[in-house]
Amino acid sequence: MRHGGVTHEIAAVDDVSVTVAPGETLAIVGESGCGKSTLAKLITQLEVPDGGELIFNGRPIATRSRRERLAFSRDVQMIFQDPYGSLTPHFRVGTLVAEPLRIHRLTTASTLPRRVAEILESVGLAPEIASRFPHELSGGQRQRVCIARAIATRPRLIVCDEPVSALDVSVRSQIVNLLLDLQRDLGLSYLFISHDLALVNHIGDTICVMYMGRIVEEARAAEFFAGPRHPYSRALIASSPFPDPRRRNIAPAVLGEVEIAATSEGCRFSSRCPLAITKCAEIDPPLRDIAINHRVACHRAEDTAK
Amino acid sequence: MTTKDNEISTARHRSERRWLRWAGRNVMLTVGLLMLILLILFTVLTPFIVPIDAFSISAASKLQPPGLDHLLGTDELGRDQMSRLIIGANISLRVAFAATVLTAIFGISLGMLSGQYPLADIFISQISDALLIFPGVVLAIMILAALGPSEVNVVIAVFVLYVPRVIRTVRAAVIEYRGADFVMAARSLGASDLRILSLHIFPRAIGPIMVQLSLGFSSAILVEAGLSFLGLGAPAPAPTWGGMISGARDYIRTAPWLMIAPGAIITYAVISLNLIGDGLRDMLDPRSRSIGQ
Amino acid sequence: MMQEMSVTNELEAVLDVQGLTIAFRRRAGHIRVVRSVDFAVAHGEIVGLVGESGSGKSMLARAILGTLPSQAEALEGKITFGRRDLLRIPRQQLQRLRGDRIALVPQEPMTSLNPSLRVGRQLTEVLEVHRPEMQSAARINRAIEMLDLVGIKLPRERLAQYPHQLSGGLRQRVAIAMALICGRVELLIADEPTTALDVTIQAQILDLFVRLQSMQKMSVLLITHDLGVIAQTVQRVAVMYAGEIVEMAGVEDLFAAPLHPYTRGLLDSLPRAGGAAHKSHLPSIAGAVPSPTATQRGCSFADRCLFRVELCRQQAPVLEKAGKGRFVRCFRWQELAERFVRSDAVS
Repeated sequence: MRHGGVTHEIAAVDDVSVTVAPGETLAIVGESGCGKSTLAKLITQLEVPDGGELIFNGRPIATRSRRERLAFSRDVQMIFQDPYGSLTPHFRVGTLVAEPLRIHRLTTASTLPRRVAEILESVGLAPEIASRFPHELSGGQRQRVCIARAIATRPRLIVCDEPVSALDVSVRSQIVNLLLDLQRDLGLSYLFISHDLALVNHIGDTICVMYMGRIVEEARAAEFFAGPRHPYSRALIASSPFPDPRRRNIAPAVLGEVEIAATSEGCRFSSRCPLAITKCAEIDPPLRDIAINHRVACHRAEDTAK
Repeated sequence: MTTKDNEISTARHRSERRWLRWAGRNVMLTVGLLMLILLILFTVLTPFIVPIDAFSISAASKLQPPGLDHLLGTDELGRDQMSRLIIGANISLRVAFAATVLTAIFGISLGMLSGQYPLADIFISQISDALLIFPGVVLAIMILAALGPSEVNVVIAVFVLYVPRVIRTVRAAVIEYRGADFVMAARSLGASDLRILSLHIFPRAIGPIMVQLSLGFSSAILVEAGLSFLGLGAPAPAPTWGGMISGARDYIRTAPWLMIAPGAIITYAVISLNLIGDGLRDMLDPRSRSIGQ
Repeated sequence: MMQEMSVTNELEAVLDVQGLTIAFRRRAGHIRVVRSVDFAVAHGEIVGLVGESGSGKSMLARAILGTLPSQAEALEGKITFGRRDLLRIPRQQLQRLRGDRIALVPQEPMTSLNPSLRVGRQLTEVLEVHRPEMQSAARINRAIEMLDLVGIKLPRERLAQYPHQLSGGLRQRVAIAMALICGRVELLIADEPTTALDVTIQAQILDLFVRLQSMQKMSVLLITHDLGVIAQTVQRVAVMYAGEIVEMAGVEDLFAAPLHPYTRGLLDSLPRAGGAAHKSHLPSIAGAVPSPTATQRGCSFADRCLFRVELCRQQAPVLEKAGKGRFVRCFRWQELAERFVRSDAVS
């Protein structure tokens, strides 16, 4: 998948391949501008790639007809970060939840209210809430409505773009638990985009770290958190504030910031990397297997093993 | 029983009070609506009370001042001024209404097209911006000069004059909401462009569109009057307000009522619609609303 | 009122807030968004103020800075800073304090820095206001010195740049330099200073805060919703819920043994290594943060509390002393503390 920016030389998403196994969660972590949200929009067809292709169930999306693309959008749904903005304000909750059923003609008019009530119950909302407007609900309730809309078509994959980071801390775990329950009960796959490593550690099966439009490391969650190999992955973990004052880990782990203008042949992280050597500035490291199910794009991956 | 009656009467009381509170918060809108209702009642009900005859000519009763026989007097041909005013109101409101409906239909659909599809936007915006360059009445005169004076052509002229403003309003709303999260969310559900435009975006734009349309309606009355004044409106002997003013010019000293009555009713109609337009804007503008709360 | 004294008298306070109630005026009456808050910041300490949306933490900060929105007012209480009550001193005196002895680092420097002024101009303007006696060359030197202090490379070149030419992290460094440029800051209020930043940049900025605080011997009031940030930076924490302080403690005590059911619920709900097993349910607090218009008798957390008893619905608990430097607003804290010590020992 290749997606060129308009103003920068560097593509927002550059040569990225991801695979999500059925019933599993692929977590994509990275900082703002790393391309994770663009990736989400490409997958849900909210944006069109400039080059490359999106293959789902073995077939590229672009070659499909309108009808097939509609079927695709039934299989692939999305949950957005901001539950305040992503619900049409003048629709009642019942209408909002019924909308995907109407678009994909999944129920008849007579069974619609019952189906809406079922879906609302499956996300932990009382069916009576159907007559309310979004602004009458709390943030957590709104995100539940968004989730209800996403699961209404019985999709196979849900792209979750930072689904809890706009919520109050005391409400986040409710929503995380709901997502976990739905995955188990409906066999959903998630492509879970987040910057919260602790959360990703809890719910992710595979972790994928992106930096400036590229995947720099990909591994199974347990292996990743036991021994991240890319210096950027290590910096992310070292920078995440650990909620324990007896373990004060906060120290600037990397130099400087992401520089959009940096266009070099070499590794895009090399200017900030504490382990950079001359080779890093000259040759862009390819994503390569260093162990089973563990890929890293770093010349010095062998040196970062414990 | 009594408690139930009481409940009903307090419920009615409460709803009355809610109406009053609403009216108190939207004074301009309330006054404008009441004025418009009065005007419509006047044109609809008067024929039931007073015999209407706008066309019979009588040399004997020409240029009579207002009196019991002719409430608003007669013109130089002895025609009843009151009757002519009411028929004129029919023409005026009919033309303005037809032009507004046309403007709404085309303005909304073209505005949506141009907001949603950049390619369509190039054509639609170029043409509508070009139309906006002309001073309003000049454009209307050009159109009527080309098409010839008739009621239908007045409708077309007023429509051409006001449709660009509605296009602009709708286009701006579509562009504003096109990238909104709730539109993205609907799109990710698989919603078609038509569905998104008509169900998700259009209702957010109804407010500004209504404001534009009610202001357009009042301008339509003015433009119709102006064109009739110039003899480009519905041809004689149809009693248009503009035509009546035009005819009264020669008698301004001898029979001033001929000028005053149509002038007053035009002013009245325009004020009522402008009040509705401004009142709607105040009611729907989120900034003024937040002060109200 | 005895209570208030004991909150503050343990340390020499630079800021002392007593019985502060802030309300929004509405036609239906007052909506109290901050209710009877007592707390103090001692010389040279970093105090964290944690709370969710609607907890009143930002209103509290704005009251201290004298920048409450026009519909809000402080109904009761005192904010003592340098022997004066900030709620009652004249406007000009407050303005003279602000930016000089009390300074703010805001959440999003893109909106607080003036987009049409160069960085240098914005920095020297603070000096023009608070140090009118300074020569302009000296002001520029001071600005360069400050940028260097906050870790900005090539400070002289940065002076000529506009805010939009800087990255988020650099802008926040400039905002910190602006807050400290007068050199007499006794209290720095940082309102979610790293929320808009990426984690690697957040780590750099938090590290800078801690270093500057010890270097400049100032007090810092750090307002955030992020318990990780709190754990990593502050010495003492006040937890706010629905306009009230529900718990106050040294940071290690609070994280090791939270006393209020809300604090405990929050800490338990955080996913972390050694916590809930992979992909299992996280402990969570039921319900949602109450809206500030909801008025209820009793404890404001009662609706969501796992340990509520009849009393919690009828009577509002007061913030009571629960050990050295510890305060908690809960009827059952003692009983619960014993129970948790036992269950923690088992697990």
